[in-house]
Amino acid sequence: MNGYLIAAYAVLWVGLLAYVGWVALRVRGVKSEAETLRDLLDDLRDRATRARVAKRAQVTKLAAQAAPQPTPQAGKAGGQSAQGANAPGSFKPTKHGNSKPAARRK
Amino acid sequence: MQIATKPADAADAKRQPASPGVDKQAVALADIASPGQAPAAVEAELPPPPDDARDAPPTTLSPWRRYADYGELALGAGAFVGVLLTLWAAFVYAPRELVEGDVQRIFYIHVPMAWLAYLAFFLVAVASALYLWRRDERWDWFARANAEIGAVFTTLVLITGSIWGKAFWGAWWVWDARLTTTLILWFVYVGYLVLRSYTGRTAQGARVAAVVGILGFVDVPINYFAVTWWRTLHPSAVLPLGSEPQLPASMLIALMVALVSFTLLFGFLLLQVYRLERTQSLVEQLRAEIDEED
Repeated sequence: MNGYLIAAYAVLWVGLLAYVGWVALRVRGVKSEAETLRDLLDDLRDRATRARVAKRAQVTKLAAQAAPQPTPQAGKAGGQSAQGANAPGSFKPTKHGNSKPAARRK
Repeated sequence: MQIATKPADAADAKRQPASPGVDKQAVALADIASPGQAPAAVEAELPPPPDDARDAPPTTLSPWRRYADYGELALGAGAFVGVLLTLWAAFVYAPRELVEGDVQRIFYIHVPMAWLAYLAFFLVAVASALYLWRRDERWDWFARANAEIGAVFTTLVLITGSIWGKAFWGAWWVWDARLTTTLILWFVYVGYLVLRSYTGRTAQGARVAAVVGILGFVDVPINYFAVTWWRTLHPSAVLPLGSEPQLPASMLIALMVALVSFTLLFGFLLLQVYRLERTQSLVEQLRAEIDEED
C-alpha cells in the first residue's frame, strides 16, 4: 500500500479525532464553569434576599412596637418561591441592541 | 420603647414550637409582617426553603428533549458507522485507478471534505446575513460553529491534497489556481475565528464578523470554478454542474458513501460546537449577572 495514501488517511482520522476530543473537552469545561457560576449567582441572590428581608424585619418590628400584635395566621402553607434562575432550559438568547441582559424566569 | 438589638433573636424568642398544622414559615411570617401588609408580599421575599427539590432534575423529560437526545445519539452512531463504511468503500470496493494507482484513493476523503467545507462557508454566509437582519444571537452561534468546522475541514483538505500532490506531482505545493484560492479561503475563515476571539462576545464583534462571513463566501465559487476559468494542475471537477459524472459507477458509489458519512460527521460536530457556543454565551451572561449582583 502506498505510504502517501496511509499518511493521508492517518492525518485525516487523527486530525478529526483530535478535533472531536478538543471539542468534547471544551464542552465539559464550559458546562462545569456554567454550573459553578449558576451556583454562585444563586448564592449571591439568596444572600441579598436574606439581607433585604432581615433589614425589612428590623424596620417593621420598630413600626409594629406601638401597634397591636397581629394574630398568627395558622394553616397557611409557606409556598416555595419560584425555581431559581437559570434552571435547566430557562436560558434565553438575547437580541443584540438591548443594553440589559435577557430577563430570566424567577 | 424597646428596640430589639438582634432581630433574629427576638423572632426566635417569639416563635412558637411547630405543631401539627402550623407551618414554621407561617409563624415566621407573623413575626415580620407589618400591620396591613399582605403576607404574600412578604412571602415573596423569603428565600426558598433549604431543601433539594429546587435543584432536583425534572422527574420527566419533555418528549421533544428525549427525541433530540436520541437524534443526537443516532447522528453520532451514524457518523461512526459511516467512517467505517468509507474505509471499506475506499480501500476494498473502489477499483484501483489506472494512472494514479492507489494514491488516487485519497480522493475519497479529500473531495467530500472540500464539499462540506463549501457547505459550511455557505451556512456561515446565510447565518451571518440572518444575524444582521434579525440580530438574534443564535444565528451568530450557528455562523461561528460553521466557520470553525469549515476551517478544520479546509485544513484537512489542504494537508491531504498536499500529500496527494507530493505523490502525483512530486511537489508538496504549487501556486495553482485551485490551491491558491483554497489557501485564501483558509486564511479568510481562520481570520474570521481570530476576529471573533479578539472582539469577544459583543454585538459589535458579531456584526463585523457577520460582514466578514458574507464577504468571505465570495471566494467559494471562485475556488470551485478555478479549475474551469484558469489552466490548473489540479484535476477538473468529477461531478461538473450540468454534465455527466466523470467517474465510473463503482468510484461514484464509493464517493457518495464517503460524502454521506462525512455529512453525518459534519452534522454531529455542528451540533456539538453550536451547543458549546450557546453554553459559552450563557457563561458570559452569568458573569455579567454576578457582576451586577456584586
